[in-house]
Amino acid sequence: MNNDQSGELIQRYFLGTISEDEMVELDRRLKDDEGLRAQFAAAARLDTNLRDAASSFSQANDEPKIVSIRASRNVLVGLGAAAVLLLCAVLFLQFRPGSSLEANRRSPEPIARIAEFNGTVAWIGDGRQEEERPAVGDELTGGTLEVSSVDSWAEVVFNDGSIVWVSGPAVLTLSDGESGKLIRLSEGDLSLDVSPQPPGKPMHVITPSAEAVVLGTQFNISLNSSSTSIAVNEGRVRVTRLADGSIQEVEAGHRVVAALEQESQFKAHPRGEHVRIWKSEFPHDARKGKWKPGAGGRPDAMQAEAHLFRGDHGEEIEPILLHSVVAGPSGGAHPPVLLTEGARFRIRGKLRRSYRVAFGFAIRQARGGFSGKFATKREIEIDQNAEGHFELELFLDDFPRMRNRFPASPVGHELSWFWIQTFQKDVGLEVSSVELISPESSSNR
Amino acid sequence: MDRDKESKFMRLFVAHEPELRAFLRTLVPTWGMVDDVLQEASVVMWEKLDQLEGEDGFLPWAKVIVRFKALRARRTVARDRLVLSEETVALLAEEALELAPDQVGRERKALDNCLQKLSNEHQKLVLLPYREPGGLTELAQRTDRSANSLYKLLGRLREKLRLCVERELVAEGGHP
Repeated sequence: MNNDQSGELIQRYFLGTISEDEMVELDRRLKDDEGLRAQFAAAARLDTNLRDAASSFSQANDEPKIVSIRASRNVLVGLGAAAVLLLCAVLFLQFRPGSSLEANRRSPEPIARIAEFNGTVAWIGDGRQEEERPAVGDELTGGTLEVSSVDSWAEVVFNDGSIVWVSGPAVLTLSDGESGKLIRLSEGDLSLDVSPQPPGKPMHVITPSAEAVVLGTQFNISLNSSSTSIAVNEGRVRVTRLADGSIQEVEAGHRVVAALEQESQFKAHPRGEHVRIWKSEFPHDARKGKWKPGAGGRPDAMQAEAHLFRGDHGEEIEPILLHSVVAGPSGGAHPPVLLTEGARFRIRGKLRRSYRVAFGFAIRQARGGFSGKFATKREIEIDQNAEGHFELELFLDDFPRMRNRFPASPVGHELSWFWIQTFQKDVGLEVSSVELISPESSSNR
Repeated sequence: MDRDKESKFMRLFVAHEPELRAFLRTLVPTWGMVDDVLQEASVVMWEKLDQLEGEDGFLPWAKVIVRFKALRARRTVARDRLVLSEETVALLAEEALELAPDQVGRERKALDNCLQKLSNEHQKLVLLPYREPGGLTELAQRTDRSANSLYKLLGRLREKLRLCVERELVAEGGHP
């Protein structure tokens, strides 16, 4: 081959038409020829600039397609760095001109509606700079939904009947356009019941560590700071681990965990049989709170994390400071935990002084989606001799359901997670363990 | 959340994104991988931004992160895709690190001039693969030409553009 042929190999490489044999030859030549490497690098820069020129050309001839970052930046306020990163990455990289997601242009037409919600829920529609407090029945045209507090949730129904349950705290962005539905979840839990999607337009659900492609199915997604757990109850979901692009087909009754890094296993496996007891292992099972490693005989604990509550059911109130710890069976490592008749929770923790504390938990249907939340409050009396430590047991019956539409009893459902929360004052809430004890379990202590 | 950090990161990243994208394009075989790796690398940049000493150092610092991520990503597809060997990619990366910081930007401006020298039909053809993936095959069917002949023409046009950009930079007084 001569120099012209080397140039042709480079062109084929960048046009994606190179064969395996030609690739071997190109590789050999590049290794040996510094001048050819410079030509290759120049071709790469040309490819980059042509791509950029194509997007300018597109914008000059069509309506502008670049999504403004202003509205979304407002969402950043109050979020952690991980969410910032996600949004930065989303805004700069995913919605850039020419990307498939950018092609998913936001429609001014409503794409979904708020079917129900509870707690602090805020909505920022596309192109808007101010968040709105939605009302049941509000139509949504695409934008970001923020479900702030642990006892919050929202039910969003797309125009085709696909249902998304968001369990707070969670932040998600919704769109529905030429490429199909897109949900981007930056934190929290989702449960989806997806109607069959049009051919070639699957629903995409994207988290910081995974992308799920869905044609029509029921599945749950649960995020923590380092991984995404996806459990499929009906149908099949294709999951890509973003760390390395590897793919798993997850079938009904199976789950997979996609971590941010590539070292951990990424393999779909059966969800496993239910267990009836569970004890938190921190920090692994923590969903909210700051980890405080144990020392000198003191156990590991989660310190409550502060956040604001700004009203319920659409009402505006003066912000109330809350301190919360949230824990739940880790979706990846733990089999599903079934709540049984007579079961009780045992909570061990610490307070600086006696105080009224709220407790609650979220449930999902056995091998199904989100189904409700239950909550109660208790006055915790601190014995000064106990150095602030407390231990409390609460039976399932002690927790009333938070809405009438939820099941009257959590029995027969799976535990999603459990929260412990104080209001107004920071009284130094720490939780060292949350335990579910079934009546038949022999070792209760 | 540190708003200063956020705005600093945004500003630096936006300013240097074309250079980083071109650098990555040299190292990985598809645009999909470029976008994925850059996204992953941007997260690391954000996390380690405090380690950056002086904004002038952002580009070389970011390129080192991008190179590391690109080499890792290359390994994951090495078995099942048409990719260059690790040794070749390492050589390309080493040499691309030396590139002048404004090279991509200058070439971008020169490209605009060079595109103007093409006929409208040829302009559209060279931009088609980016505007409509798969559009070239459709165009071949629509115009009753073989896809192979269109790809050959496209290759020739791109080579012509590359040489034109080189000439423009020399005429401008810089090195190509």
